[in-house]
Amino acid sequence: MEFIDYYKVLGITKNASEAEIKKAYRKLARKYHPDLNPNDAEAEKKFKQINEANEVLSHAENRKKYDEYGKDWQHAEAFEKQKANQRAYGGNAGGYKYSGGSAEDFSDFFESMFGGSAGGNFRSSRQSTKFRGQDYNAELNLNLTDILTTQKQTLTVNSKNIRITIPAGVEDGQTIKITGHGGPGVNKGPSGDLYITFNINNNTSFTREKADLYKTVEIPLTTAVLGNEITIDTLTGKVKLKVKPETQNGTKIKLTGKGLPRYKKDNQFGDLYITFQVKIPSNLTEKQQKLFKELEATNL
Amino acid sequence: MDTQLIQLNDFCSGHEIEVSFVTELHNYDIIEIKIIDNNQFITIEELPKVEKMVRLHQDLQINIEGLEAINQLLQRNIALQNEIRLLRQKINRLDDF
Repeated sequence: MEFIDYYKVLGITKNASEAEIKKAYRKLARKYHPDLNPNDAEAEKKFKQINEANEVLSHAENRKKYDEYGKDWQHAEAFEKQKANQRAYGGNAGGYKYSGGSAEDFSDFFESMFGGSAGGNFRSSRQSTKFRGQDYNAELNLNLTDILTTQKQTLTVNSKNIRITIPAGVEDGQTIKITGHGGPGVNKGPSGDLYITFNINNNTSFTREKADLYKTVEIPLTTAVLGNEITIDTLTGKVKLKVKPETQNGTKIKLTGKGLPRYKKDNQFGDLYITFQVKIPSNLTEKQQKLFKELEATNL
Repeated sequence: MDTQLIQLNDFCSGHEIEVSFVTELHNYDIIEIKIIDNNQFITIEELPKVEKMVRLHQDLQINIEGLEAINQLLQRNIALQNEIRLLRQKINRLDDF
């Protein structure tokens, strides 16, 4: 445990007035507030330090104790006990009543001087300066094929395992909030939230637009002209598809319900749109060329 | 309607804040308030933003004009982070080649 110079933390001199302490604290609090510094652990640490310094220096009694014992804080408890005994002997057993509970928001130095959970006037002031913990932001990389079904994953955030449910059909860049899994609050304030942004890597040959999928499929010229049955891939397997005779290049057809699951809508799916691209044959054999010329002669 | 709504009055009493403060946030286009049958509501999606503004106001005594400026800067920050994310994705794809 090291001595903490709270005056230095707030950047003020030892004879700073109440107004100067307040001004310095507000200035630094605005600079390091967790809501203004998302994902900045250093700022959060600094914010806790200045908050702790303010708790001590902005209350006359605490400041007096701090100034009195200063670097000899290790002896503070003994001195206090001695004083308390003297008061008790005189029939006036007053002073602080420390409950001794842990307050992880404050440094060991602070705990040793002011106890884990301060009492008296101090309690009310701590209640009034609760701060919510910092929000954390994390990214999760998934493949498009991973979002076909709702799945559970365990993430490790600040050494804590969090089991989250990833709803099927989640969007690329979409952010979900996990309440209370951000940084711990200051002065018993509520914890922040964890925001997870999904990066969806498209590992398929489909183009995605929300729950709908798009794909261009090449078909032979003869299939386009005469019609035929073809097999195409969807995300959930192969399907047979009838190509109507005289299908034009660029014709678009819709396969209802063959897209992605709709986000948070059970048993609802987007559609798959197939655009036919007619493949013009190349490297024709003599026979094929002859047949095309025959077709040409029919003014086709 | 899928959207969950929170009565503005309930929100304000829970956060010990004046209704007029939240309506001012709405007037400054910082947050959205839905009005249904003359009742004011906050959507569940909007809630984190409203709470953030309330915290900044209560913790740091920032006035509405300050919150408006902060909101714009935070949004710009988010947009830049999204751009970085997309560019990182593109770089990763290029690395695969």
